[in-house]
Amino acid sequence: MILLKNIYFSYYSAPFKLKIKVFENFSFNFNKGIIYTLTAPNGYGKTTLLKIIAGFLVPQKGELIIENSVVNFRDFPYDKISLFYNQDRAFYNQLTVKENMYFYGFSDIEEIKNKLTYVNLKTEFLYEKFENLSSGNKAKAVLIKTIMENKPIILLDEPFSYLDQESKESVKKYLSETKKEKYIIIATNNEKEIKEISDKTIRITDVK
Amino acid sequence: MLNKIKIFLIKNFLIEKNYKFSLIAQLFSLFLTLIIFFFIDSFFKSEVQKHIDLNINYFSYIFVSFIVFNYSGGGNLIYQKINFDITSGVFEFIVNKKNTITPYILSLWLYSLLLSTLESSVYFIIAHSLGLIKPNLNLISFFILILISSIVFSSIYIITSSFVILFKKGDIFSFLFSVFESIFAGVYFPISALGDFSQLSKLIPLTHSIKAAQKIFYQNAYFWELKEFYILLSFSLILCPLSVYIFKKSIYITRKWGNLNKY
Repeated sequence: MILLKNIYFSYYSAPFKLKIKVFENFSFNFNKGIIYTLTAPNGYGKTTLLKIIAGFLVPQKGELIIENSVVNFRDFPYDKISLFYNQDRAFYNQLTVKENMYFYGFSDIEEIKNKLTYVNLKTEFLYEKFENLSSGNKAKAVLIKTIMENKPIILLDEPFSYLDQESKESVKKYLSETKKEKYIIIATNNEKEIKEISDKTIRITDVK
Repeated sequence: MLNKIKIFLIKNFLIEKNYKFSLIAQLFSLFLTLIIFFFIDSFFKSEVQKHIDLNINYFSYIFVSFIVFNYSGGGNLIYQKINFDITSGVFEFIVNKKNTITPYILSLWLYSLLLSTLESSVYFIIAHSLGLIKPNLNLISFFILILISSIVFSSIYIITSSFVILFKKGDIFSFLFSVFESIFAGVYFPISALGDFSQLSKLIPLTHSIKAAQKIFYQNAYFWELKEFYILLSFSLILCPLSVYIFKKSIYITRKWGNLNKY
């Protein structure tokens, strides 16, 4: 179980200069084996929530409990969680996809090639600089990294925005096949798109 | 840990490969600067010479100062690399990973050390083959001095990077520090030329590195005979752990403020 307990989070634009209050006393729990769809209008905290669960953000108050252990944000269990968000910022533009994969610890090229089928990415793109890829192929490359990490908690922020239909189906198939062993949370503005694989939809505005 | 450092280092070199001209320009600009000082030496020989007590000419003095100053610039390179990672967005993914911050810092230090050594070796080969310098060099002592110095310089720039990560107000700390040390550390002229202000120089690690480097380079001194070496060692013992602590702390605070990926 992933439990968020009385979470407070505000963004500060500069030291001590409050900019946006996002969560105030927010609580929710996520269970294993269920694909959650997280929806909300823009700016209501979908990405923020994923980033808190992924340890990219530290709540100012409240607790995050993962499988009965209260998370210490100073020593965060990053090895349990994969976060896919903003495909333009996860990889170095100046490196090829293969080099970026190596940077994230994946050096077995055959294993990477095997995973390409999950997102329908052509092998030749592995040797292309990341900056030369289309938005769709960038998303595919970063999704492969997320799949290869094979962590028990998968957090996806708008994973399908740039994907073609065929790739969307492949990724959905992968998520459905692996969900038993994992926590999967997908943030999206397009609920219909993942209707067939989603087990539960959470509207942040209702929980708040 | 070693594997992570290796991966970070390879990544830095692969990225640098994209900017070949910038590396060449960097080499060329320092080379041009040395040529300027060669002519200054020819014109103002007697005026400058009276402040140098090592029985060497002004060009020889400035050559070694610039080699050491180049390693301080290597510290500045660490600051630039961190900023590059923040603006490209990957920084967030690097530091939010299990046990990566220390290898990340170590790889930046090693990277700057290797690049500065490469540059310094090119200058040395050119200056020596043209007969512009006459070193009486203790090579091992020189390397050890450079190693300790570069730990100190890198630590300083990791601290200034932490301030940028925290306050998002740009490059003011490293800029001021760089200007301050280039005036007061005896890079362009021996600190005796500063008169009463030379007391300020003692607070700057670069001053001690330059002094020790001159003695090792031209008088075949051993590092353990030099008091400057022990001063630098003390600086490194304080600044190195402090810089890692401040860097980690600044990342934690910005994760809490939600502006880690902002520049």
